[in-house]
Order: sequence, then structure tokens, then C-alpha cells
Amino acid sequence: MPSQKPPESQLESRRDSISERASDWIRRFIEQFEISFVDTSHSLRADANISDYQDATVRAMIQTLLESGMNTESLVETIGRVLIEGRPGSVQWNSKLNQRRFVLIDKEIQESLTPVERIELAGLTKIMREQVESEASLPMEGARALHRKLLELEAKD
Amino acid sequence: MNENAQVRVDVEAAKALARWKALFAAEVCERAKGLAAQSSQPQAVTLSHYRQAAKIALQSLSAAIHKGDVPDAEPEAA
Repeated sequence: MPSQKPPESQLESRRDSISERASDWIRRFIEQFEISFVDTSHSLRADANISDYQDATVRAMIQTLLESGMNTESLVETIGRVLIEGRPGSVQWNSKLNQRRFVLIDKEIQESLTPVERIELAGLTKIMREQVESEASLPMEGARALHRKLLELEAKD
Repeated sequence: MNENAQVRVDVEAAKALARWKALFAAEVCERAKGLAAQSSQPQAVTLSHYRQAAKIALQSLSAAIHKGDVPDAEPEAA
């Protein structure tokens, strides 16, 4: 089947690219991350294993993110959300996720929540909050106009 | 015993390398942006721009390290 070749200008605009700001940010982040990693790993034993390096990496990553201005709550929520998004299936807020959140809240109240579950709960809360906020930003003017009209009709009756 | 396991890298050396890499990357980005600005598409920095910029940045980084112009340690707190 013949296909029309898009104009050169369209090809250019489709080229994968990142913004200069993103490029600058990640460059500075990597520099700080590397320095943080050196700080967190210099005390490791000579026979340290991959698990020790992973531990030092996570510590350095968290330290660098916090130093970049991210707060702890946002960091935990984002990690939780990313882990949930990594699961197969949709991450749209639904009754199953809501139910899971209630289970975790119950465990939190009973003080039986594990650290992993705490991160999951933070992630679920973030997804739920984003869903609520996106619903709050829906255009409501039409609904308000209809509501006003119904009130006016009721007043006339 | 594995002799490699005995090798230790000074913290200041590891940090200096991180800074040199960052400086090199910053130099490449800046020079590539300048090259793009002179091209027909000033808003698009390409791999070709980075290649050209990297060659110049390598030389200037080398000279800066040789002269000791590159900060290889964190500034001391006042």
C-alpha cells in the first residue's frame, strides 16, 4: 500500500527530543548523585557485595532528590505510585485500588503495616488524590448554568 | 585473594572525576547550543552538534585540568 511521505518539517518535529531544561537538570542531578554516592559508599568494606552497592545507591538517590527540593512525603508517594504503575493493568483509580487502600489503612490503624505497604499506601493515596484533583478541574460551567435554570424554573412554579 | 579487591579510590579523586564529567557535559551542551544557533534550525541541537562540541570540550577540559582550573573538591564551608 503506498504511503505518503510526510514533509521534512513534520519529520523534524517528530524527532525524539528533550527540553534544554530537562537536559541541564539531569546533568546537574547526575553530578550530585555521583558525589552523594561517593559519600555514602566510601565506608563500605572492601568485600562489599552488590546488595551493599544497591543500598548505597538508594541512599545517594534519596539524598540527592531531597537536596533537589523534593520533600520526603512527595518522594515516598512518588515511589509508591511508580511501583503501582509498574504493575500490569490500568492505574486508573478504581474500586479495587480503593479497596486495597482501605485494607492498608486498616493495617496502619492496627500498627501492622510493613514498610513496603506504607510506600504502597502512599502511592495509592497519591493516585487517588490526583484523580480527585483532575475531577475537580473538570469544566463545571455547563452544569452550573443548568442548575441555575432549574432553580429559576422551580421559583416560577 | 583477588588483588583488585584491595584497590581503593580516594574520595576526593572520585568526586573530582564526577565534577570533571559534569564540567565536560556542561561544556558540550553549551558549545553544541552555540553550533545549533548558527545552523538553519537554531532550536534543534543534534548528535552532530554534540560530536563537534565534544571534540572542542575535550581539549578545553584537558587544558583546564592541566592548569588546575577545574574545581576538584567541594568548596569549604565558611
